Amino acid sequence: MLDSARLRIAVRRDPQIVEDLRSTTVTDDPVQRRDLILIERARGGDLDAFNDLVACYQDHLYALVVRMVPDRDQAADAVQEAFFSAFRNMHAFRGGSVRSWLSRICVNAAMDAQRAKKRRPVQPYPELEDDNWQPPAGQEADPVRTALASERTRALNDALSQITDDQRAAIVLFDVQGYDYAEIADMTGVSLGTVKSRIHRGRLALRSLLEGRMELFRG
Amino acid sequence: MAEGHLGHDELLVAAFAAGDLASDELKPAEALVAGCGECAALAADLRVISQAIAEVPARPRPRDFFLGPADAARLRPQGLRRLAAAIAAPRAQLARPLAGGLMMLGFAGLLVASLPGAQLGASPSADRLLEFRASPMPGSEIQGAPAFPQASDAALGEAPGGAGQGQSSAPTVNPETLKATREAGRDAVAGPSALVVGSAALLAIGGLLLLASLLRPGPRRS
Repeated sequence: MLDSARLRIAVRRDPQIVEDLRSTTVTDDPVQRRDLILIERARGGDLDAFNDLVACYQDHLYALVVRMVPDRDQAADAVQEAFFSAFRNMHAFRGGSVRSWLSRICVNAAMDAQRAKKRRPVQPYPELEDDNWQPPAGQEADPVRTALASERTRALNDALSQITDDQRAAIVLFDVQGYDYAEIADMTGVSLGTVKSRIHRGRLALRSLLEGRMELFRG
Repeated sequence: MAEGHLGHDELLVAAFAAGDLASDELKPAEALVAGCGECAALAADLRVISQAIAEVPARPRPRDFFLGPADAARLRPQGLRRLAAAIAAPRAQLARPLAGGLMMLGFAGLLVASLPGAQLGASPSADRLLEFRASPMPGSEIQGAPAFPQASDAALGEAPGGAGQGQSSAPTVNPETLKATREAGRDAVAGPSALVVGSAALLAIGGLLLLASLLRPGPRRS
């Protein structure tokens, strides 16, 4: 159904990214220009330049992967593996957004980690897991509000861990990372309709899993 | 759940809530949501969930992911991958078209070389050598030795005592046998023509170039 004509509108939430190094080398975007310079230097053998890219994107990529791979250690390993892969395959970068390129590699690494976890399930130490982690609250924070946010996070993480890997990846990329359908389709190697289907079905599954706890989110 | 909601298309409601519907599907979805409380609540919940997911705080990363010199040394492409990296680098984006062109040329050359009677590029010296070998050797009549041992063997197979005993009379070279021998000798002596060798080389270089550019890792498809 989602491949049908009625769902043909793709929501573009960011400017079009031109996937051509020749046109992006003269980009006006300073971040893009910085990234292209760094990657060119890294290709020339400058390890510090590559590590500058790591410094720029490690937070973003870990935030992406840790939502797809709930186990924090596995998420960290997946991000490290993604940076290894990016370094190994720098020559494969064809221009465009370095952030999208790295995210694509990370999505693949996260998918691999999830598949590996299914083959060899690891039971994390429950006492070390903190599913309702919240950023440190300031002095003025309302305890009730903080507790509510914590409970909401726990409920969402529980629900997210129960939907399929594909649905979770698509939802995280769309709702959290802000990629549009076309970018997600490119990253995950599926059609636009499949991306939409995964997002909508995933949200329906989340709503079903959160039924009875929706009051946490309303109002 | 409302009785009338059971048959309603929840996926359509989800697409509506996400704002993904084209105009021809928008009106039925709007009518569905307007006429069914469950569908309206579903659309509202889906929007709330989408918003809540976006607001889930990201955990801080447990460590840095910098690469050390040892990692870099281990990960730098080696061997064929290094060649692939060099050839298929963005500056060499013509690698695949160039490989295709070289392979086409190679195929065309091999095709031409395989045409009957095609001797393009055959070595002239090889032809001269054949002429020399095909002509009776000076004094061969006297010695009774055949100019072409193989041909004479065939031609004089009926000779009593067999060949090589010096008992045969003057060599009588059958023209047909000589022609066949010249053809065989040309193949044996001339070998592959320059056209064949060149075409094969082009084909090989093009194939290597194509292989190298294909080995370049791209986005993985799941």
